[in-house]
Amino acid sequence: MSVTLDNSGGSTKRAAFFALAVAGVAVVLYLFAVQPCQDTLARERRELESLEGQLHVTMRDLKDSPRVKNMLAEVEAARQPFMDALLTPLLESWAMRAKGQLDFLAADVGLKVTEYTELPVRALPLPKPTPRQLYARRPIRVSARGSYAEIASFILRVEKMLPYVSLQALNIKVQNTPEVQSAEIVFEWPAKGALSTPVAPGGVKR
Amino acid sequence: MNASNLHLNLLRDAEKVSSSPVRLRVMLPILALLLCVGCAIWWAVLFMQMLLLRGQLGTVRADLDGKKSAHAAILAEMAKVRDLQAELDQLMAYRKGRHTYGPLLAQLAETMPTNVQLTAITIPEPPPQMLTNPKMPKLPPLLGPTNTTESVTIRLVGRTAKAAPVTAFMETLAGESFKDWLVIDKAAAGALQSPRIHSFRQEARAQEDGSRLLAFDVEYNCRERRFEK
Repeated sequence: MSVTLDNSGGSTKRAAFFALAVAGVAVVLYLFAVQPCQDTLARERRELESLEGQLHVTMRDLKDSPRVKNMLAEVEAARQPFMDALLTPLLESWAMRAKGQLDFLAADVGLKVTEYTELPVRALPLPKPTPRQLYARRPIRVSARGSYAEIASFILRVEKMLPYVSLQALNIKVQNTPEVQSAEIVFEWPAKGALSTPVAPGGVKR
Repeated sequence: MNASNLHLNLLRDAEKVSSSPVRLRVMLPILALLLCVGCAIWWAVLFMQMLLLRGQLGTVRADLDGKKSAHAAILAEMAKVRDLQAELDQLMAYRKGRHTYGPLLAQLAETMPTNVQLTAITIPEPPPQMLTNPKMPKLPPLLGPTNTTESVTIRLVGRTAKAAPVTAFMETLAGESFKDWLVIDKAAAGALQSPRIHSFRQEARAQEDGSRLLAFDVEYNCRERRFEK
């Protein structure tokens, strides 16, 4: 005897419904658990990579610390002589400071300085790309009278004693007697941040 | 007794020709369950990974926090080195552009022929710089010129009784002892020519003995100032 269970449709439907329900749970699990978890994981992996990068840079920088300290010491040591040589205003007068530095040198060689004049500040020519001017050239004109030998000795002494002072211009003229010459010597000093306060053309006399 | 066999035919006609012995109504729930369990395992694995990752993140963050102050200090030092180096570069450029003229003046006195008198020695001031931006003339200038060289000349004015000592003096100036300061280029044209004789003539005023002196005015190009590192 052969029986065909034609009424097996009920169990198939139940199975299909069950399968659908379980699949729904799986989808919900995927959408609300797996996918957010994956996103979080990806985000945290990126964050970890970034933090590890930061840590790598930090470790490298910390490893470089002795070298940086050495470099800082070297740069500071190289800069210090310039800092000592910078012309700074004395009682708001650059010429007064120059007078303080040059008077005794002139007296040593017997040169009579009659006047110190501040001249318009000059920018430091710098290669491209032009950086911001941190320092400028501060010229001071020294007017003096004396013999050629005294003038030459004075310039020699200034150039020797003040190794960062540069002769910018010079005008020696013979007076009535060859032993007395008038000299206008323009010395320039490095000076900090002087460009923003330019001196009017003609200068300021002291 | 003839026992009849009970044969339950649970397969449908469509299923008889199927290669799979397992029926769809059994397979579907199993597959769905497997899918669900797979998702759960997947999530569990991801969750475990996330926990591990958070642990790592915490460790790295703590490590970074621990080194933060030391790193900030070293970064500050690096920035200071950069700033000081930028300052030093500018000061070195100034230093490179420094020339000394004292030895030149001393040398001039030594080599000057006795019958030549210099009446003026001039190193003119460099031309004024155009520093203001024409578009914003009221603002103070911040950037300097980009031409890193500055030309320097020395002008010698004097008098003599004869032309020969001046020629000899000029030959001395063209010699080795002045090569550190003076540029000699007689063949060049215009401002590049050195020396340039501005005048070499007899003075209009006669001396007490009736003789007339020769006045000369010669300009030499000096080594240019180079404001470079």
